Amino acid sequence: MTGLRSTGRTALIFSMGLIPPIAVVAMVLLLAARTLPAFHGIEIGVMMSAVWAPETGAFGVTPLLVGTLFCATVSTILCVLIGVPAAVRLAFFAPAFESKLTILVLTVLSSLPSVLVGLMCLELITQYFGLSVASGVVALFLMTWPSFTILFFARLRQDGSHIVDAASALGIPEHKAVYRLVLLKLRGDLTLATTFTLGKAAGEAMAVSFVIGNVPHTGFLPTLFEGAHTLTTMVLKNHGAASGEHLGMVYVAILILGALIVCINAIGAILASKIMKNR
Amino acid sequence: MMRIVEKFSVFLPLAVILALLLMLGQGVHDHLTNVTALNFPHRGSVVETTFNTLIIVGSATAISAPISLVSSILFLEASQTRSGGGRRFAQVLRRIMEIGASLPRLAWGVAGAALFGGLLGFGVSAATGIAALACMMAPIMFNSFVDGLLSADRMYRPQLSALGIDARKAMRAVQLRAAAPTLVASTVMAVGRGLGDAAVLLLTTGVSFSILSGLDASASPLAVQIYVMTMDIGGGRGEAMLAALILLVLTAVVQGIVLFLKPIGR
Repeated sequence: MTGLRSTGRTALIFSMGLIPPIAVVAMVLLLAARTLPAFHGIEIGVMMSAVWAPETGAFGVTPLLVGTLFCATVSTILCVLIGVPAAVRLAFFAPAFESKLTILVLTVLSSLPSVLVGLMCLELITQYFGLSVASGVVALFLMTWPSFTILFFARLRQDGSHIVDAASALGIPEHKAVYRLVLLKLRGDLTLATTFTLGKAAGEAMAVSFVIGNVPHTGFLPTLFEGAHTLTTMVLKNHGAASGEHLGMVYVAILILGALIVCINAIGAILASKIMKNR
Repeated sequence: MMRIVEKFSVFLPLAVILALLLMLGQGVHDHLTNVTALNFPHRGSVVETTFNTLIIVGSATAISAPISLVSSILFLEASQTRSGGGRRFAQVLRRIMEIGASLPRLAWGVAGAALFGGLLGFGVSAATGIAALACMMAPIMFNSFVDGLLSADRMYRPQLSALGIDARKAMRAVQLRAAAPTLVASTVMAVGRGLGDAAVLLLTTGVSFSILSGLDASASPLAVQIYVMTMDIGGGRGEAMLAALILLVLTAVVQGIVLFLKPIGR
């Protein structure tokens, strides 16, 4: 009887534990299934075209994909350019109080809801840049840069201190040691943090949709000061009102976005592990 | 040159948080000075959406946390079995949950609306929102739970094995207790993500600023209120600012709890 109860309990635990992975797989399969109307009704050539105008039957996702990659890439470059020096200063050169306070503020910023960041950009940034790609990039930067900085700061603290100490003992200036030795040693971690940030920026929807203008851009690449759509903002704006093939394309867009993020993260992990092995 | 860039980059977070606080302070001040007793709750009050937020996020956490914990224990047990099948199962489980955690929140919103709202017939309602949010939170919690349990496992398993204590008993008696602060911190962190989530809830709970009347009714949380008031309703800026301030306070409280629990976990 005790054995039976134990087996029953194990079976219950086993089946309960399977719910989350089953939910993930079910969600992905359902999204894939919902794209079928789009694939039945719209030619692949039309899907790949450079025009997104659902009202005229033009369902090209290329401009949305380009808009997503453009905004995410520019904001990630900004993250690296500003986040790395900040992490270096906080890990090695800032006084203890400055370091603690800044990390605390960065932690709060990294947990800010995207609607707050979007609202802030709408109030403060659009005064200068208007509803444009530039404002969208700033919103993405504010969403991703705090966690990038904290992540890289933690790695610098963990693995960089002893290199700087050893370099100092050899008479190498600390700044030189950090930028020439520590960053070189941690380039795998930097790659991982960068690709993770790129994936996060690509998937961000709410903050960007406040300020990017939510209109398809002209030309292949958007310019910084025109409005644009990304995959996420299009899904957000079209999901409620779309039906038939149009709704199918919304599911196609979200599936492309999911695949894009998984690919970015996988490429980052592979690159980082290769760099770490070569080290 | 590099030192100037470093100083600027460290000054930036302080400038951003100050700008945010000043903007919200000014916005709320403007709103409260213009408001009268007659027009205050004219489009639904923040008190109601705050209540909705707590109910929706609380329910999603109550569903998601125990299931994720069981799932992470299952992973740990499978990864430590001697059979190759068990370890392969654990690898697949971890991989699926990592993919789940990396999916954009908007995808969870769209899929949740299709699965719970469409296929299961919940429609645009609080029930759909809670279920979709629980699904979104589960992979995040799972990954943090696994990390917490693994570090407790590394710390205690050799001693427990040396004492001849059964692995399952050890899990219950020692490892879960040792990992408890990390587990609670991970749960609170997931609650923080849920509180600020608008992408999932905008597509699933619908837009209604009145108090949640039942699981089959629409009920917007604070994050959705901020978005809709700013983007879709003219003149809603003041209420959006007030909702944003409340959301910021809630987020700060959650973050404070996480920061308080993390050192205990260490």
